[in-house]
Amino acid sequence: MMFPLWLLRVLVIGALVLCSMGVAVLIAFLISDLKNKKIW
Amino acid sequence: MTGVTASTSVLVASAPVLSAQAGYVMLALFSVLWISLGIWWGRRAKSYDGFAVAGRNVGLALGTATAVATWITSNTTMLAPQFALQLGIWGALAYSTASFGLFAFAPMSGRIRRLMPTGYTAVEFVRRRYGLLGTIPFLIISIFYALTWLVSMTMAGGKLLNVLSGIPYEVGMSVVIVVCVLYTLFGGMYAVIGTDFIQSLIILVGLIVVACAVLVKIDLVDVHEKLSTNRPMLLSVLFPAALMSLFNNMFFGFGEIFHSNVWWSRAFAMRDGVGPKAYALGGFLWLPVPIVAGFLGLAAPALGIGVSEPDTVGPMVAATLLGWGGALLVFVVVFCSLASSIDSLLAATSDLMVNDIIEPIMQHHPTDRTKRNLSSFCIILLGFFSWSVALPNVGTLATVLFFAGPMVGSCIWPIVGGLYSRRANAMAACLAMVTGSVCGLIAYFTIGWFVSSLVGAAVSGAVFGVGLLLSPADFDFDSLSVDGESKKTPANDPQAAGEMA
Repeated sequence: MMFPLWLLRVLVIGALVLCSMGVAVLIAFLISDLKNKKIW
Repeated sequence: MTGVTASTSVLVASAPVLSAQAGYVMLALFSVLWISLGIWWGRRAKSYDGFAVAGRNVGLALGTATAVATWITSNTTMLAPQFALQLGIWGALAYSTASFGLFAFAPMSGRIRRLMPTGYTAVEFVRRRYGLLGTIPFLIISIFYALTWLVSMTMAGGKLLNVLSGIPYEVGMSVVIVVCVLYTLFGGMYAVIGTDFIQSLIILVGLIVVACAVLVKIDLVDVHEKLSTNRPMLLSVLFPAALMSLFNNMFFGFGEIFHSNVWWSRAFAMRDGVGPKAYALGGFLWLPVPIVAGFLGLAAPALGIGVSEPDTVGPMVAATLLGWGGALLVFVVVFCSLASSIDSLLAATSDLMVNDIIEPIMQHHPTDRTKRNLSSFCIILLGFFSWSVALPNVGTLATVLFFAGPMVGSCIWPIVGGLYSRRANAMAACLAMVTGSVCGLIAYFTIGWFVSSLVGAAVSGAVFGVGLLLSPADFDFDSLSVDGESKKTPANDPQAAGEMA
C-alpha cells in the first residue's frame, strides 16, 4: 500500500503554508511586544 | 545505521556549487553580524541573572522564536531530508513528531517557572527533587547529551560549508564554533535569544523560498511517479523501519526537551506566563519544517541526484537544482540553524557547569561577578572541547546524535514524575535512568538506532512506575522554591536529610 499523490501534495503544500504563517505570527508578536514594551 | 542508502548516483553533485570566495564573504558577513549583536545585547547582561537567564523577563515574540530556532538545528535541515531519502514519507513525518516534545513541554515550563522562580538549570531541579542519587546519572546524561549535540553541530558546520562552498572542513568548523563562542561570551542569554529571533525568521523564509523554487522546477506528480517506479519503499505506508522511527523520534524528542537545560534555561528566562504559550506556538511553527526539508530528500531520487553522503542530500538538491542562488540560500539557512543551536548549547551547558558542578564543589556561594566569570570560562572551555573533538571529522551525524537517544529517553519519566507526582522517589528515578539507558543502548547496538529511544523510555517508565508503587515518597513541592543549598529538603535523600539535621 502506497501513500497517494494527494497526501504528498497536502503534506508539502500544507507545510509550506504553515511555515509562511509562522513568519507572519513571529513578526506580529514582535510588533505587539514592541508596542507593549514587553520584548525583554 | 540501518535503512536504505543512497545508491543511485546518476548525477552526483560532488563539486561545490558556491565558490569558496562567496562562501568566505557570507561567513564573514554573518560572523560580524552575530558578534556585533552579541556585543550590543551584552550591554544588558550586567548581572549573572541577566547573563544566564536574560533577566527572567523574555516576552512572547522572542520566547516563541527561541523555541523554534533552537529546535531547528542543522540536524533538522540535514537529517530530515536524509530521513525522507532513506525512510520515505514516514521519515519526514517521523522527524516532525519531535515537535510533540515542544507541545508537551509547554505546560511543564509554566510549572517549572512556578516551582523554581529563581532556578537556573534542570540538574538543579533534580538535585533538589531527588538528591545526590538522582543527580549523578542525570548530570552524566545531561553533560553527555550536551557535548554530543555540540560536537555534532560543530561537525555539521564544517561539513556543510565544505559541501556548499568548498571551504575546507577545518576552516568552516573552526569559524562556526569561534563565532558562536564569541557572541555568547559577550551577550550571554540576551544574545542567544535575540539572535534566535533573527535566525528563526531567516531559516523559515529561506526554507520557504528553496522549497517553492524546487516546486517550480519539478512537479509533485513526477516525484510521486518516479518514487513509485524506482523507490516504492519510500512511499510505502507499511515500511517497518520507518514506522518504528516514528515513535522512536517522538520519544527522542520528549527526552531531549524534558531533560535538556537548553529548554529549562529558556523556561527560567521567560516572563511569568509566557513559557506555556511560547513553547506551544513554537511547536506549531516547528512542525512543518522537517516536512519542507524532507521534501528536498524525497525529490533527490526522482531527480536522479545521487549523493555520496546522505546527510547532505537536502543542501545538495537545492544547490544542484537552483544553482548559485540556491546554494547561497541554503548556506545562510544552515549557518543560522547551526548558530542558533550552538549558542544555546554553550550558554545552557556553561550554566550546568557553573551551578551544578563548580558551585557544589566550592565551599562557599560565589559572588555574582565570580559566577559570570566562571560562565565565560566554561563557554570558552566548551568551545575548545567541541573544536578539538570535531577536528578529526569521525562518524556520521546520525550516529553521533542517536547514540544519546536512549539515554535522554530514559529521563522522560523521572522528570515528568518529579514535576507532577509527590510519590516520585530518588531510588526509582536513579534506577529508571540507569536501566533505561543500558537497555536502550543494548537495543541500539543489537536492533538499530530506530528503536533505542523507544526501548530506553519504555524500560525507564516500567522501572519508575514499579518504584513509585513499591516505595512512594511524600515530597513537598514548596521546598523547590527555597533558594540556597542549605535550605533544600530532597525527598528520600538520607545524605541531604542528615545535612539538614
